[in-house]
Amino acid sequence: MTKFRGFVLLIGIIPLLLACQDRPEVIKDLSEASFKVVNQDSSTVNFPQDFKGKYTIVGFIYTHCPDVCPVISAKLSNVNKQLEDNSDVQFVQITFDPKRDTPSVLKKYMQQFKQDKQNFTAITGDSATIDTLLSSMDILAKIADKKITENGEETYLMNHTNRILVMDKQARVRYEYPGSVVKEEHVIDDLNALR
Amino acid sequence: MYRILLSVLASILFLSCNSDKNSDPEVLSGQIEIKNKWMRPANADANSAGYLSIINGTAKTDTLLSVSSDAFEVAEVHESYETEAGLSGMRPAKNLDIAPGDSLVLKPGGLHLMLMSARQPITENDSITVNFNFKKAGERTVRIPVRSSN
Repeated sequence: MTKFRGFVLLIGIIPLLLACQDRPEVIKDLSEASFKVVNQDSSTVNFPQDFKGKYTIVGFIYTHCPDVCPVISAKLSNVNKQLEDNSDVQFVQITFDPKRDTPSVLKKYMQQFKQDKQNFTAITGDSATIDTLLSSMDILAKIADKKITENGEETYLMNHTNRILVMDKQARVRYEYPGSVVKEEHVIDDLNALR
Repeated sequence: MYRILLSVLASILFLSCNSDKNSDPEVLSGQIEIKNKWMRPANADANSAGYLSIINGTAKTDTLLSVSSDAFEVAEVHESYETEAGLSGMRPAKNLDIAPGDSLVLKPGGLHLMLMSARQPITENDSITVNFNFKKAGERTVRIPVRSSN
């Protein structure tokens, strides 16, 4: 009888183990992290605490970036459009460049990508907080090429991590991608595997 | 006699035309074509990128020397690249030679028109004028339409 119970237990555990193998490991646990930042409407938000309870797809951008960052933002918009059900998903874009990316600048940028307020948030804040937030997510950015414009103003480009990531409902990073390269279907498949 | 004189003159003219073609390496047998053009919208003072293909339909290698547009303070050809530290960066592109029959393709994530500091907002369905300066073909001016960013 004891042998039979052991056999039944084993049969029960095997499917569980197999199911667990499909679940991605936690890459980074931000469930206890808390950063007071501001969104595109200048409202204070607590990242990632205020975003728990839904899957969060995060992209890292700066609005003066003409080539790679717009591709990342377009991919986030496309994922949102292509999801059959986006009721449990939200999108966050965090700027590398809080000095120039004020809430109003981010708001205009979002309009350019037709990102609705309901599902999309853009995040900026004071430079020190944004730097710490980015570091906590292993995101690097640095000023690379400074120029003086015709108006005598300083302008610059940045070298930065090219990343999109997916966090689960507990604010744990579960997937990371090369942001401007990953295919939208790939992100959607991974998200569905997490659900 | 008149007919013979006429045919001799025609032959001389024909040969001299041929000889001119061979002796002038700058004569272009075809055209530089710029197609598949589009760019992203830009808010005032913001940057944008333009994408297109330049096809060298001439018999000689040509080089894109510079670009300019009145719609932006600065226009250059840049390339996105990965730095040694694994970061995404941008730098001015050099040696933009296009061999005969070849194309120079500017596309997202690679070579692109780097359009810096828009003089005024440029929105979807607008278009801007961009001048391309080639070493052999000289100046080419095209309109680049603005497409949705998505």
